[in-house]
Amino acid sequence: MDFIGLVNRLILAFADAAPLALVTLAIVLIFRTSFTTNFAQGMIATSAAYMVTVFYNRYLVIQYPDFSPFILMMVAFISGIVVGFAIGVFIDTILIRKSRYSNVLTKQMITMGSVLFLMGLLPTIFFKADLNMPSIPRFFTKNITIPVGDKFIIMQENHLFSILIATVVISIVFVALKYTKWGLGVRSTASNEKVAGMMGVNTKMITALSWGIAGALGSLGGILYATTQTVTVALMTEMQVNGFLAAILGGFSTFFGPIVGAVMIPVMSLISYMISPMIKIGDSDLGVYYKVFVYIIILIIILIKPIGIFGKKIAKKV
Amino acid sequence: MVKNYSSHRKVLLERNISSLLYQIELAESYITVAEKQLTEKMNRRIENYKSNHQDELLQSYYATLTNSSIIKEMTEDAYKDLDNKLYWKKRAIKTSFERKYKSKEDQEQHQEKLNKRMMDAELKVDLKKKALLRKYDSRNITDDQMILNKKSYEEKLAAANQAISVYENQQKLILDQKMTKIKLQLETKKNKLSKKLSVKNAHMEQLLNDPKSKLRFSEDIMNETSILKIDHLTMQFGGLKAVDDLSFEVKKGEVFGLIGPNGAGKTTVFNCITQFYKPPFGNIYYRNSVNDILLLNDFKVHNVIKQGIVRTFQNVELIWELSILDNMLVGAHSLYRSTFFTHSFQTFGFKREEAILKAKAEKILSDLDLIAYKDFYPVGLPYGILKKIELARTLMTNPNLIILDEPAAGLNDSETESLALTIKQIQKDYNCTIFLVEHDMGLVMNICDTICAISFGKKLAIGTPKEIQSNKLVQEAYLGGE
Amino acid sequence: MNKLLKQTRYSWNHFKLYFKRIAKHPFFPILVLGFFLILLQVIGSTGLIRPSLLNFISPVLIRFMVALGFMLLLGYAGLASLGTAGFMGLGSYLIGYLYQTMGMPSELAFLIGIATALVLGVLVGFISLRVEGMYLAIVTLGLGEILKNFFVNSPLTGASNGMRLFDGIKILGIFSSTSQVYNPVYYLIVILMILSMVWILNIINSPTGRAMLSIKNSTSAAQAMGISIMKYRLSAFLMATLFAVTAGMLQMIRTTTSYPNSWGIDLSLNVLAAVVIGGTKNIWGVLIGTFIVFGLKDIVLSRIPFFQTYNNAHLMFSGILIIVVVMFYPGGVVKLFSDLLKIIKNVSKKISASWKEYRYGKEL
Repeated sequence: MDFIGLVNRLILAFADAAPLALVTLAIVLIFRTSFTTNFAQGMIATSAAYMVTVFYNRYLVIQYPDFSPFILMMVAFISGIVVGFAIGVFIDTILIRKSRYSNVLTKQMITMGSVLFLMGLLPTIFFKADLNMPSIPRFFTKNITIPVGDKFIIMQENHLFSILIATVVISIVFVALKYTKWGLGVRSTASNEKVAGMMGVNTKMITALSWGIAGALGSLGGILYATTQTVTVALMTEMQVNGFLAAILGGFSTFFGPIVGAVMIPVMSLISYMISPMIKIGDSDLGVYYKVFVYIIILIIILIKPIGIFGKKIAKKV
Repeated sequence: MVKNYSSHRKVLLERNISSLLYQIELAESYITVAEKQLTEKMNRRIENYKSNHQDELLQSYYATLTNSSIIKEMTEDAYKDLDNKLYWKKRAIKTSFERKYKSKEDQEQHQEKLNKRMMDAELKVDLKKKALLRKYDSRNITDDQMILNKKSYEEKLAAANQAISVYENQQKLILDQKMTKIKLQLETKKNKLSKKLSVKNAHMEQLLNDPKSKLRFSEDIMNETSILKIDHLTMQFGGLKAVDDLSFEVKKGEVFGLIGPNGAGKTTVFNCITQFYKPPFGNIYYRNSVNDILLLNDFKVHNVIKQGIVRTFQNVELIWELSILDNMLVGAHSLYRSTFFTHSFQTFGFKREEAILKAKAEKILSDLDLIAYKDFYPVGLPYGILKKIELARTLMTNPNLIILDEPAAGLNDSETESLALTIKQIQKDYNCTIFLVEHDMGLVMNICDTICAISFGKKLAIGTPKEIQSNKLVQEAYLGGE
Repeated sequence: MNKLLKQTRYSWNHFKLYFKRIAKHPFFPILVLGFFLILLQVIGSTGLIRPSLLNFISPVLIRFMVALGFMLLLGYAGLASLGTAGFMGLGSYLIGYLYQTMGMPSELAFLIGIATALVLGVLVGFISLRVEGMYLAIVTLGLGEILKNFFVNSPLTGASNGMRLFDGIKILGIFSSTSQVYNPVYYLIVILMILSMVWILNIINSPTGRAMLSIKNSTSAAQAMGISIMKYRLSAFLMATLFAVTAGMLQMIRTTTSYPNSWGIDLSLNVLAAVVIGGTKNIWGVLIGTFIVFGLKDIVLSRIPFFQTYNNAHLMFSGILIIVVVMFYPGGVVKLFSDLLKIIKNVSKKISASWKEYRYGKEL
């Protein structure tokens, strides 16, 4: 593959990385405040994607045909993000906090139950299963082409838009973590929940807010990702798996590491995509298994550095 | 420090020898357990046999009785039953009557009805009694027949007794045979094991006499009388030094106390000894039961107990989902020689091992007056009892060194006193060294032979309780300077 | 005549005593269950019971085996895995590939499948369990997705068309194909199920089971007692993997077909649901849970019009059940039964006492 083709591919990889980084950030945010892994992250995002699609295609466009589609899209987007926020807060305040015994495992199981519930609920309330889901609205549909020699660097506006949005939102979250009261609360809860509570941090509020923000972040990622896909229940499954792996790869103990992990995974899968067809066994090549190789590489990295590339070892109190 | 080859071989040999010794011990202690189980089984069988014969004998026994005596024997219980029933019947009649006629006047008016119903009930019972009498009275047995019956009964009784005694003897014989068989088996097994043991011991001696094999740590690294030596231990979390260049030695067989104000790093020292924390600087030496000096820093957390060091925790760390007896067995986990494979098939050998360890657990529990809680779950038991159970759990492995992390925390005065007695008793009965961290000065001064006081990770003083009490540095640390 | 009667009575007593002792043995109900299941099929094959009523049993039993392994992992070692469906799929494709494409005898293929399960389990378990138990769920989630990706794309597994054993399969002298109304593999499944129940019971009531529970309750206490955390967590995960792969192979032998879509994350979550709903520490609870999650769908839910139109809606049902059980009733359905029994006993005691008071009043 030539250089220009590589650049094009790289842009695509970064476009993949944008929603992945959002989802990963959401997962880490919840892990730091609730000390559990939220398996429902992908399904929350999928719910938001469903919401946006149905709300826009089945309601807004039909009811308000005179409005500019840009405004309608904004409304639909915001509604999706609000839905994600609401589901996140619901899981934390109603399901997790009201359970009789709460530990890491029960929290995990509650999120898994939520996955199963949403998996059944979404196709049931939005469509009959056999109907095709219409695609999500896009803000931008054009391609930008830059000629280089006799070849072109092709960039979809839509991809650039998601990279931009993701970068901006992630930066905002990082700034908020550093300078706002909420961010201070999150960081203190993350380092020691009990002490934070004693020092007057409203840990319950912080946790609920973090769940909400994580839900919203994930939803944003889901919606951005859905602009390039058909919306189905399995829309975010792979994204969520990659989000978790990115978080392990970067290390759960920092906020910065997982984001790097999230950028690494699409790049790694691009490299694997290019290299794996060259490996030949008999007549067939291993091109179809490029994702398998990425997974194996990630496993090897975890084997070498179990706490993640940027992870810090924390001594447990006995 | 370089690990030399022969010391590694020595450790392996040692492990072999200890495993062989343990197996021999198991074989010895199994005899009593097996005997108990087998006799129980035999008694049950004999009981069954007896009850079968008694049923048969009873019938012929009745045949030998005269009418009057059988009436006496048979009707007594039946009459009692009937009377009891009559009592309840009368009560029922009276209550229903009272419910029907509430005022006293009504009751008086209808007194006759009540009396009649009572009479009826009594009459019915009388009739039943008479019928019973008639049943046994109607038997017509001539005297000759009676004699015959008696004879046959006696014969039967004798036969039954003989049969029972024969059966008993037979069973006892079987038991004896079984026991001798088991003993023989165990004997041969023991012989085999001791042969192996002697071979290994010879190897060991050879290895020890070999000039090439030196002890990994020379004897002068540690006093002969001491069991544990902490050498320039330093442990830090982030920038904070929890333990700073701490050194002391613990003598064999004493009760050693580590005291200090809050945050002095006492628990951190414990965690370093038991390898929950890996200290970056400093060595911890330990003399195990075969008088070899080990560097504990090389051990994994779960291997420390195999060298004879057991610990308790500040907050009681029992297994809440297991009963007390099972908790004790968890404490003996490092003793189990059975593997995953034998557990899967519940082999005989595994069951034997389990029975022996259970007996041991029960013995320890009854030594510490805890046997009543054997089948309870820890949830809901008083805190003092839980602390004691945790102490009992440490004894399952016959440790050389018991490390107690604030044993009296959360106990009231009387509980603390009984705990002090228990600790003293354990130290005497089980012949072990006890190393404890405690806040309760009364307890520490009461039971400790030597005390080490630390503050902010540094050693202030070490000595007998009296010396510590009069030490100025310690007073300052506790009461504040000047 | 009389004597004979007496003798029979004694031996009957003997038998009763003996039976009472046997019935207390924990394996007794398992054998009764197996006997009952085999009897059901024997009666069914004479034509007395409709095949549609019986055919749901063997898939449920296969999933029950998976759930048993998962119970050990979740209830005893306190770990969750989401790769269950992936492992099942792996087993089913593996035996199909080895038998049909490579032409191996099916028994050998079965053994190779088991070996693969062990190797893969050790690799994944060792890598993910080193840091925290929680990582296992994440890594196995990834593994499940990757395996599914492999099934969909690889030419070895027939890609998205799935794999089909056209000539049926023969194992241990039992022949299985889709054309059979009553598949004799059922008996094999029942026997393996009984064996696995016995095995799990043995493990639970041994130092291994206790060690796993100790790790779940308090890792530091377990370590201080000489329990190697890695070893027992890994062995629990290995058991779960082994059961999943074996069940997948049985599924392939039973149905002779395998499609990549049937090995999705929803199956893994449903197995979790079965274990959680039934009760995470009791094999009978797990049996009930499996019937609720997998059996109820076929017997009851498929007859309700709502669930016929929305064929994903049953997932909602098990999702809600997981959440409710975890939130309010961690003991599961088994706990519910025992609690109900207690309540009934108490109520009947109260009723009889009050009846006594009503009938007999005060003392004379």
